[in-house]
Amino acid sequence: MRPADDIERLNNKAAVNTNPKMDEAVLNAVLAAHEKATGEVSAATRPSARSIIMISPIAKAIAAAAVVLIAVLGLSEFLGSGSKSGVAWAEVLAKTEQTPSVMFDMTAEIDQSQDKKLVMPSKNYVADDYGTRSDMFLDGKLSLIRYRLPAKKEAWQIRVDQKKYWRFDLSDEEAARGRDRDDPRTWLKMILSGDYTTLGRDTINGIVAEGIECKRPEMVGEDGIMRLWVDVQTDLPVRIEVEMLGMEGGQMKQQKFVMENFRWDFEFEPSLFEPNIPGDYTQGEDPRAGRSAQGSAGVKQTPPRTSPEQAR
Amino acid sequence: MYSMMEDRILLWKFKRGSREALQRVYEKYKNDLLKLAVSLVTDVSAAEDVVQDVFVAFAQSAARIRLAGDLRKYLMACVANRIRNRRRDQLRHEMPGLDEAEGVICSARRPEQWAILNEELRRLSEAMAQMPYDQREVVSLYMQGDMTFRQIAAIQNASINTVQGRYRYGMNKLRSLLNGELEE
Repeated sequence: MRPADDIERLNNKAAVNTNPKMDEAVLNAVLAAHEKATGEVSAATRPSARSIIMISPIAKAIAAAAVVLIAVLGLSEFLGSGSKSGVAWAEVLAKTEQTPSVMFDMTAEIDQSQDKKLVMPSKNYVADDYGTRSDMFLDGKLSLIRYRLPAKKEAWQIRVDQKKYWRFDLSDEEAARGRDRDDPRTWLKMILSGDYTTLGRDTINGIVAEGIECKRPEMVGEDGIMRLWVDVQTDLPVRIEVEMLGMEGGQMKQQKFVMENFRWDFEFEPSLFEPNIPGDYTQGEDPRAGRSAQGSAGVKQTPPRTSPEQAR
Repeated sequence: MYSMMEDRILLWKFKRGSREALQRVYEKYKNDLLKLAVSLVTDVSAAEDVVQDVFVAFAQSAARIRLAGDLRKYLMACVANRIRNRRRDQLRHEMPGLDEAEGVICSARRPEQWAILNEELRRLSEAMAQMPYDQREVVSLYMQGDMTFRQIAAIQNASINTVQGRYRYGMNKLRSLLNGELEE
């Protein structure tokens, strides 16, 4: 075994546990700091600009008049709240829930610097009976295959470019999360779970579709936005877009994920969900092995690093 | 993406004053942060102080934090930055401090010790302590923080080439230091 592997193995086994008594003391100090800070913030909270403006009787009158005008002139259609489109939005999720499988393409774009983006397309397969599989590409080459197989309570990551693979056991809790990961229906649920703005009609990949967009700060941050385009004929999604800011290199960077080319109710070969490891691949250490039981409760769910410097 | 979503929900709740979300973040990441801190400063007491400071600062930041990315990496970067600041302050005031105890990890457990190291972490930390700090930081953030060289370069305010060089030198040093032990 190469020394680097030995060091990696030692690092994975290296672990720290905590003294429960001290744990409680430190946590109490942290919670006290939180309580004090949040208390001070609420006491110091200033009225928002909107509430200051609305204190003025004239401003209130103007705002009320604007509401009346919008109602009379039917401007709400142009302001885009609510849906008047032909798509039965309530049916979209129900229809996809009835399909046991889907295949789709996803492209992840992450800003690296002013004029440079990391673009990672992937082919994705979701089947209720088996789990999920993602084939990710970098610079046109297959770089990573990721399997999540809740029925077998296992997950796999295969770095094709490194001829290396990892196998993870899923805990009951992790397996019970089922298809949540990498499943477009998770995003549909989020988008359709609250208010949204209509985007009208457009042709997406040759399909006439109607779109909506929404903000769900609890899911994609304050600056994030999600869009859904649905086929007006079938009420099935044709594109899902997620844009948000993410921490990259110590800075907030724009990230965009586009899921499209959906083939709903696609019949898969079972072998598609069977990891096929070539004989010359070596097995990597489970990065969770050296962590404490507490720390490992959350699976390290990000794929192995696929930054350009590593993926070369 | 799921892990990111899970942390986003925690952050969203935390920003709205949820004690439970803060507690969950603490439980989820305390061991990872302690492991990193112990690798960086080797003195367990100092490592404990740094991690506690990071959590306290995080707890106080609910109203102003604007983080939409990887929470674990963010906290790891906080640990690294705080240690760098402490080192800088100590050098400025020529005080004995974080590096004073390097080379020897106190094997006796203090009664009020928070972090309990296993044998592997103790060996790793002892070897790390013999490396220049910049190399130790790159190796630790890369191996334990799961950071890319680009991300580490941002923390160290250095070029990616410099960081990659520090990683190579650091790993070579680590190999030579651990060579005998690892062959056992």
